[in-house]
Amino acid sequence: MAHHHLEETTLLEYTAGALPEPVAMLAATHLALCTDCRSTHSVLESAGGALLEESLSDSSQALSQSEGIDGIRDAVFAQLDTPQPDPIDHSRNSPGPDLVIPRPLRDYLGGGLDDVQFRRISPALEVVDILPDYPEISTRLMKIAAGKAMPRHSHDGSEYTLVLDGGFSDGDVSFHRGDVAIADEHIDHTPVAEEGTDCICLAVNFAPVRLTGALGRLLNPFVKF
Amino acid sequence: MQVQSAALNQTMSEHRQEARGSVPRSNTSGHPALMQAIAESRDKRAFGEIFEYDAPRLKAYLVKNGAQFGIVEELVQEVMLTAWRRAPLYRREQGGVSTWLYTIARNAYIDHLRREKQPMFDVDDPAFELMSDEDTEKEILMRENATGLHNALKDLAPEQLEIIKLFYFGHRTHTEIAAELKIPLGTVKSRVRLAVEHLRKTMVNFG
Repeated sequence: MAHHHLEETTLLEYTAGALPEPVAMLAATHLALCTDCRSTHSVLESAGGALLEESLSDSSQALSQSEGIDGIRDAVFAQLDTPQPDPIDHSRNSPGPDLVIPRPLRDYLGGGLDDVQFRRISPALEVVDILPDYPEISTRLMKIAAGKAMPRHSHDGSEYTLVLDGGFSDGDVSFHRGDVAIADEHIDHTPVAEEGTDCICLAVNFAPVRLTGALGRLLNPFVKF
Repeated sequence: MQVQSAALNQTMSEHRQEARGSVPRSNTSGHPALMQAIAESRDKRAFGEIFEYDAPRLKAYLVKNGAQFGIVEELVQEVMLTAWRRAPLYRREQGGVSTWLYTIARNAYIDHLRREKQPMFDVDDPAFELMSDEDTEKEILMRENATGLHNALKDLAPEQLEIIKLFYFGHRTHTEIAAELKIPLGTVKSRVRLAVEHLRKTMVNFG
């Protein structure tokens, strides 16, 4: 059960479809793991649906829109018997179901933990890039070796980290499966993975990460982090 | 309301069973039964009923959100066909049929606008964290309690309702909304937080 959640505003943005894709993916993956936020999400979804219905019945726009509906009906009914793959549903052939990586993240990775190729950044850290071409947002699956510290770093924008396996602590706060750690640009931190299990997490950053420790500063120009 | 409080004592499968029985036309409460008929026997008459009710509403929704004339009919077609094909995946506990269709329409429209996907979680995923039965029942009751929902919205402070509407009808981020209303980011967030708290309290706990 998750103890660190997304902000209500972020859930509302997700529900209304206003989040950039990488953050929406992180939000949806957190929702798969957090019954609390899912309950808020469904309250928001119902509220959105009700507001919509209200706004439509107010102006009786729905009735005025029945014009032209005949053409749509004919087109739809003509296709009912045509067997076609559902363009939206992937659940029947989603790659490599495992118990660690839920959808939709698994769809983006093209598989579970055993299927992905990590890129080694340091002895403590391996990453997989996700949505590498997305402008101004970097999205990575990270594996932090058990008991090891992430390089000390800060960022110019906010950072969301969703824990999928193991856990890490940042100062005196600890994060486990399903938890989201949210760091803004003012935080300069050194998260440390818990002993025992490698920590697997999904990290979304709004701006390049800057390594701030002594070794980090030295590495900065060389590391595509 | 009576049906709902009686349902508290039923198991979920009985609850589903009951929905299969009657199909009232005057509102959307019979729609789950229609979806079930589509899922189980590819019932075109049932699909026709849902189409008559929901297609004009979906069209109005898309027009209201500024979808261009040419794309509206295409999107309504796509949503209705998706509903037909995905009927077996419809889950009553995820909400009413209209809400479900509205979600599909919204996502299809967002995909169209941004040419990017709106990722969704999957309740059938093996890594998906399930709710307790008790919470799931609460959730179903909340979803079906249209009166409670309308009252909860009616009782929202006007400035909170305004913010919620801006999110839903503008597809804007909180940063954009703060700029538009000329209020600090923190104020947008606290209004959303209070609105969510109010909705959750009135809809979930007293559903």
